[in-house]
Amino acid sequence: MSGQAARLAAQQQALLALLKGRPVPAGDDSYLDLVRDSRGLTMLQMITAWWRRFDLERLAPLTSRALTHEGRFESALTRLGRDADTPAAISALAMHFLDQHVEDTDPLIAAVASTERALTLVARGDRSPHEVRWDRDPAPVLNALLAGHPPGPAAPGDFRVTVSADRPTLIAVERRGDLANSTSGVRRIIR
Amino acid sequence: MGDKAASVGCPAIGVTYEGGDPALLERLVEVADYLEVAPDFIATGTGDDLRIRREILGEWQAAAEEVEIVAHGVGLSIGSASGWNEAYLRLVDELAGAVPLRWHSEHLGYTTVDGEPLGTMLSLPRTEEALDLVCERVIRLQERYPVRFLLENIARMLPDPDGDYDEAGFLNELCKRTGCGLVLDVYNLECDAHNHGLDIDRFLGALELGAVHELHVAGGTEVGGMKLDVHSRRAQPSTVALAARAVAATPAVWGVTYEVLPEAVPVLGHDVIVDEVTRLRAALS
Repeated sequence: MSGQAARLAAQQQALLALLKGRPVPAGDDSYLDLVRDSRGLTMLQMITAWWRRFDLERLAPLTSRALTHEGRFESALTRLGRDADTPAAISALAMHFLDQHVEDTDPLIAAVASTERALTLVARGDRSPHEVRWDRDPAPVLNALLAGHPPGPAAPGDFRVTVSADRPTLIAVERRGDLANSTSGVRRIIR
Repeated sequence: MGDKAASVGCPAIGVTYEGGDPALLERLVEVADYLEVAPDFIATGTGDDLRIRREILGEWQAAAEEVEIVAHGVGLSIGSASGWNEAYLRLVDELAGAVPLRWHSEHLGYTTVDGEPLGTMLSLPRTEEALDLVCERVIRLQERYPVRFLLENIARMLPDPDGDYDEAGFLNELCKRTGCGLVLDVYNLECDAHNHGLDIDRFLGALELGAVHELHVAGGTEVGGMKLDVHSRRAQPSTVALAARAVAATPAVWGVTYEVLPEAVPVLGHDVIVDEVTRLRAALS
């Protein structure tokens, strides 16, 4: 890289750091001070966070709502805004977000994210079946989230959700030794 | 085709369409002369493995039999010092191989740094080094694609760093060195005037308007005292009036595009979008 291009690169790296709220390498650059104190920087940070929230609420509504009801959605958004590996493409952002939560320490969040991830994959044309284990009845949880309500009490037990393009309802809930009703309402989130 | 019969003496009128909404498409091809598509908005996949969605590509191929198509990207990041987005160019390759394009355009800015997304688009400093970088890339694009390449002025959100050129001078030099054309986004000019005091008359007076082949018109919003380029509303009368002034002063302008974000379509509704296209044609005739 030439010296001139290196100067442009250094400025772009500094602006990236300012946007992401990371430390900017020390230097005598009055322009960066101007940016740091500008309403434009604050506005850009606000807009990017707003778009990220909008996209996730649209493309991963179940997990977004479950995290919101747990009081953890804001911190998840902050993490996405800070991390260097957060993808820019909207479709990739949603999958990245779901991937981050399929092994969540909260079994409810992990189950919701895993189920929504399976639904998203099938909606994108994946023909393979996906199974997700739940430690409670998923139907009232998923239907409450679809309606925008907090996931209320659900009967504990060993449940298995199967998501497959080959199923007429796309999604089926099975309890050990007992085939329960399909939650056809979940079809509404398929895009 | 519908109201298009009234378009004599008026530039071609276009509108954003991202696919997947056949009811909207059916109405748009009746009132618009061309459609604008962002290759990155109709792609699926992640990272370097981006592909244009098959069903959307088929829709565009069918639309191309009724209207012209222009590709207007967001993700090339032509101004990134660390390199532009090759995955985006493969999308343009795919689109251009399947659909006849009037031309291909991009924003004069950058969206990634060292491969990391900014989450927004930033404008470049108007320096010799930035100009050299962009000119070299524009020439490569012109060698890669047989259709004309245009660059668009973006709304500047951050304070202006010191530079070697003023706004018009930078664009003039870019076009002079490369022969590329310009998309002039008049709403972005209004944003820059509101947010940073750009003198639009002076800018237009200094710009080599023969390089401008397309205008963009949009409607945004104002938050915290800043006018934002979000393409979520009807165009304000001031924006349409500025477009009319620019059309009158621009000898080579071919088209004027009403831009609307796909996310705003359900909010605005089909009727409003069709009405905006019709209103734009009437105002520019």
